[in-house]
Amino acid sequence: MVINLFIGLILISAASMFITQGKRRKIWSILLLAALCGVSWMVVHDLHIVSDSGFMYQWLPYPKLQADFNISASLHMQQMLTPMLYLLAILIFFNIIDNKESYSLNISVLNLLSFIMIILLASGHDLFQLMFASALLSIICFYIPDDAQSRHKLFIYNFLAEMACFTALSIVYSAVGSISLSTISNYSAKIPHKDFVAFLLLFSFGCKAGLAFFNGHYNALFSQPFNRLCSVFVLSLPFSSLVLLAKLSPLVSGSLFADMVKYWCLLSFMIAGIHTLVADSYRSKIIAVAQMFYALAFYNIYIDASQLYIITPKLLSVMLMCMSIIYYITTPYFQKTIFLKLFQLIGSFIIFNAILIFITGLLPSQQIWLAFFYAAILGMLTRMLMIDEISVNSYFNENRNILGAISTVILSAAIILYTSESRDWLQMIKLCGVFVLFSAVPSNFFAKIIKLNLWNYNIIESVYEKLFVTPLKFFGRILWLAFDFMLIERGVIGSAVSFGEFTSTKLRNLQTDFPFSWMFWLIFGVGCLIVFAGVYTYD
Amino acid sequence: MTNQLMMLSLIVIIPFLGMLFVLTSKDDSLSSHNNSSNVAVFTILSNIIMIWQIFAFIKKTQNGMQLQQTIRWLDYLGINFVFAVDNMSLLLILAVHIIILGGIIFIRTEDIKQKAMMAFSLLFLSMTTGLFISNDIFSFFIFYEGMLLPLFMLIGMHGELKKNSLLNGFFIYNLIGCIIFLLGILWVYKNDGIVSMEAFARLSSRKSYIPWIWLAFTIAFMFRIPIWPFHYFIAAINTKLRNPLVFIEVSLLPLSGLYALYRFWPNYIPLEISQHFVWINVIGVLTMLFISLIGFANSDSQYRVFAYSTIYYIMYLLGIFSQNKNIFANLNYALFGFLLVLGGLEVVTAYIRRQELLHASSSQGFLCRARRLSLIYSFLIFSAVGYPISSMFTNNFLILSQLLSVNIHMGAVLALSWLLVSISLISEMLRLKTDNKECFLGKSNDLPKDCFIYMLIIIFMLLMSFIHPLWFVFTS
Repeated sequence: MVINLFIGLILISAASMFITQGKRRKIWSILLLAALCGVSWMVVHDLHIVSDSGFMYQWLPYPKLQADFNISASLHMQQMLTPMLYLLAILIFFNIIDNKESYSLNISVLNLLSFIMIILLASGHDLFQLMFASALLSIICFYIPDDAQSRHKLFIYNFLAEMACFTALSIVYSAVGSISLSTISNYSAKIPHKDFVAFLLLFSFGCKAGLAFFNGHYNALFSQPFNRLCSVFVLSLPFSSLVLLAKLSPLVSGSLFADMVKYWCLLSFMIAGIHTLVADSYRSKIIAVAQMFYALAFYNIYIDASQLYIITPKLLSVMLMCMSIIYYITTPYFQKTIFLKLFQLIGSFIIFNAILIFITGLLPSQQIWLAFFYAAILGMLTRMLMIDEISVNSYFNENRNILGAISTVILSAAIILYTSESRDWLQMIKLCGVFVLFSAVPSNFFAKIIKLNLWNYNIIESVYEKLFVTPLKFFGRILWLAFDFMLIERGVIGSAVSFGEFTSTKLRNLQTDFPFSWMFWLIFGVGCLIVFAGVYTYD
Repeated sequence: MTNQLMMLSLIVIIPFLGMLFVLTSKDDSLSSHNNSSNVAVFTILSNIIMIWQIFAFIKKTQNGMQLQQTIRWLDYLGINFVFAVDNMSLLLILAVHIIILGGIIFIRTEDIKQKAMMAFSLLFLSMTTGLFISNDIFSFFIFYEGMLLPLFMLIGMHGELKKNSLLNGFFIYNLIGCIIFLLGILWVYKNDGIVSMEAFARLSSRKSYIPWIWLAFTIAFMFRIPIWPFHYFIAAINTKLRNPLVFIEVSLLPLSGLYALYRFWPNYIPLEISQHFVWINVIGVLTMLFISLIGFANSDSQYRVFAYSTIYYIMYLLGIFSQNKNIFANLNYALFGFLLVLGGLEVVTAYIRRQELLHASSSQGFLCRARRLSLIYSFLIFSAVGYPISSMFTNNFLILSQLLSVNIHMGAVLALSWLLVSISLISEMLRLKTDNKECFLGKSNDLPKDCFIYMLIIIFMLLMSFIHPLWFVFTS
C-alpha cells in the first residue's frame, strides 16, 4: 500500500512540476487535489487488507557501507499515514482558496514532496535513509516561505540541526559499524560518548521541532501567509523531528539529559502558551499554537516512541483546527458576517469531527472530539462577550478577534490534556468556567506585556553572539596576528626577504671585477700563507 | 594487452600534443578568437574518452597498481619510466580533466589572450596525469615538479597578482620542497637501490636513516598542502587569483601533495613514530579552525571557496595520517566528488563575480532572476555543505566517523570547522537569493547554454556517484 502511495505521489509531483510555469494555475491545483484524492482513495481502502508491504533496494554499495532504500510499513504506520493524507488534501485546499497566493501550485507540489519525504523518513530502517529524507525535507521547506529573512533563518537553524544529527550518527556508526536501526538499538548502551550523542541528537530534534530557545527560525515566519504557515508546521520539518525522535529514541534515552527533556518540553509549552496571549498578530499566534502542540507531542514520543503512530494524527489534526480557527475568526470580513460565519464554522467543525471519527475509528463514546467542539462554541461565545468589554481600548479594537481566540486555543489544549481519558463532564464544565474567567482578565495587563515587545527580541541569538561569535572572531584575529603574521610573514618570510636582499646587494659584489684585481689576490695569497703556516706549526 | 598498456602513456602524451596544436593554432582577431580553446576542449574530451576506456581494463577487486608499462630511460642506472594505474589514480585523473575542461569552457568567452593560457593548461594537465600514473620514484619526482612550471607561468601571466614578490616567494618555497624531495630520493636510491614505489613502501624503519627519509618526504609533500606553517603562499596566491582556470589549477597543488603522501605511505609504521602523528592532528585541526574562522568573517566569495577547499584537503590529510583502512578505501571516491564540487563552485563563483564587474552592479539578488545559475549554484552549495545529493555526503560521513573514532576532540573541532565554512558558503548563497534593487543583473546575464549544459553534466555525475561510485564503468 505504501509503495503504491509513494509512486503515485511522485508521479503527481513530477507531472505538476512541468506545469507550474503555465497559466490557469488554480485549475491545475484543483486537478492536483483531485488526483491526490484519487490516489488516496485507491490505496486507503487496502488499509486493513494488507498487513505489511515492502520495497527494498540496495542503493549505496560503498566499501564497508551498505545502505538500503526501504519503503515498507507496519500496520501502525499505514494507519498514521492515512489521516495525514487528508491533512495533505486540506493543505492543498488552503492553497487553492487563498486569493492572494499566486504560487499555490508550487506550494502544493512542495507539500506533496514533503509528504513523500515523510513516507521515506517513517519507513527508514537505516541511518542513511533517515538523514537523506530529513535533509531533503530541509531543502523543500527552504522554498516554502516567500520572505528572504524567513528563509535564511529557517535554513541556517535546520542546517545546524542536520549537522548535529550527522555528527552524532557518525559517532554511532564508528562505534557500531553498521547503519541499521535494529543493530544500533541492540548496541545503544555500549556506544561511547553516549551523552554527547544524546546531546547532539536532542539539540537537532529540538531545533527542528521548535522547542524553547531554538525556535527563532519559526518565530521569524510571522510574515508568512496562513497557507504557508500550515505547510511548514503540519507536514514538514517539525513533524520530521517527531519521526526522527521515534526512530532514534534508543540513542537518547537513558542519557544524562533524560530528565531535562521533560522540563524543556514543559517550558516550551508554557512559553508558547504565553506567546499566544501576548503575540500581537494572528500569525504569531498560529506559530505559538503549533509550538505548543509540538512540545506536547515531543514529550509524549520521547516517553513512548510508539505514540508516534497513535498521537501524531490526532495532534496534527487538532493543531490544524486551532490554526484554522484563529485564522478564520481574525479575517477582516468575519465581523461583518459573524452569524453566517458562525454557522459555517459550526458546520465545518461538525464535518471535521465526522471525518476524523470516521478515519481514526474513534467510537462515539470518545468524548475528546465532542469536548473540543463544545470548547470551540464556548470560545466563540466568550469572544462575543468580550467585544463589548474591551472595545473602548483603541489598541484592542483591532485585535479583539485575536484575543477572542485565546479561550478557544487554551480550552482545546487543556481539554485534550486533561480529559483524554476522563469522561467526567462536571470536571470539564469546571475547567471551562476557569478559562472563561481567565479570558476575562483585564486587558490592560496584556497590553503592558505586549508593549514590552520582548517577543521580538531574540535573547538566545544575542547571547550566542556575545558568547561565541565575538570571542571566536577575536581568537581568529589573535591567531592571524600572532602566529601567521608575526611568525610567518615577519619571521620566516622576512628572513627569506632579507636573505634575498643580501644576495642581491652585498653578495652581488662578487659579480664586480674586484676578484680580478691584484688587491684581491694579494689578500687571498696572504690568507693562504697564514693558514699554511698555522697548520705547519701546530700539526 | 599491448594496446591497453600504450593507453597509459597516451593519456600523458595527448594533452602535450594538444599543447603543440594550440601553439600552432591561429588565434588572432582575424581568425576565430576561440581556436585555441576549441583545440584544448577537443584534446581534453579525447583524453576523457581514453580514460573511460582504461577503466574497463581495471579489475575492481584487485588491490594495487595495474596495467604496468615501462618506458626505458636510463637502463644502465636502472631508472626507467614506469606507469601503472588503479581506481584511485584513474578517478583523480578523470576529475582533474573534468574540472579543467570546465575552467576552459567558462573562460573561453573572456577577452584575454587565450593561446598561452591554453598551452600551459594542457602542459599542466599532461604533467598532472603523468604524476597520477607514475609508479616509480624518479618519474614521480619529474612529474611532481614538472607540473610547477606551467603553473608558475599561468599565475604570472593570468593570476593578476599585484605583488611579484609573492610569486617569487612561491617559487623559492616550492624549490625548497623540491630539493628536500630530491635529496630523499637520491639517498634512498644510493643506499638501497630502490626505484619502485612498492619497494619504498616496504622499507623497514630498522635502518636508522629511514625515519629521516620519511620525515623529509612528509615535509616535502606538506609544502603543497595548506596546513600551518606551510599554508602561507598557497593561501596568499589562491585568495588573490581571479581567473577561475588558474584558481582550479593552483587548487590541484594540495591534491598532488595528498596523492604523494598516499602513494609513499609505508606499509608499516612503528609505534614510536606513529605516536607523534598527534601533533599533525593538532596542527591540522587548528589550521582548519583558523581558516574556517577567517572564511566565516570574510565576505569575499573567492576566499570562502578557498577556505572550503583547505578544510577538505586537511581533512583528507588527517584521514591519511589516521592510518585507517576504511578511509584509504574511500579516499578516491571522496576526492573525486570533492574535486567536481570545487571546480563547479569556482567557475560559477567566478562567473558571478565577472558579471558584477562587467555591469558594475551588485550581485545580491542575482539568483532571483537567473534561473539556470540559481539551479546550478544551489545544487553545488548543497553538495558542498554535505547534503545527501552527491557522494560528498557518504564520504564525509565515513571519514568523519573514522576520525571521530580516532579522537573525539579532533573530530569535534573538525566538525566545527566544517560547520563554519559550510555556513559561510550558505550565507553567500542566501545573499545571492535575497532580492535587491541595486542589482541590475537579469535574465540576459544568466549562464550561457554551453556552460549550463556542462554544469548539468557535472550535477548528473555527482548524483550518479552518490548512488554508485563507479556508475560509468562498463567492464567487458
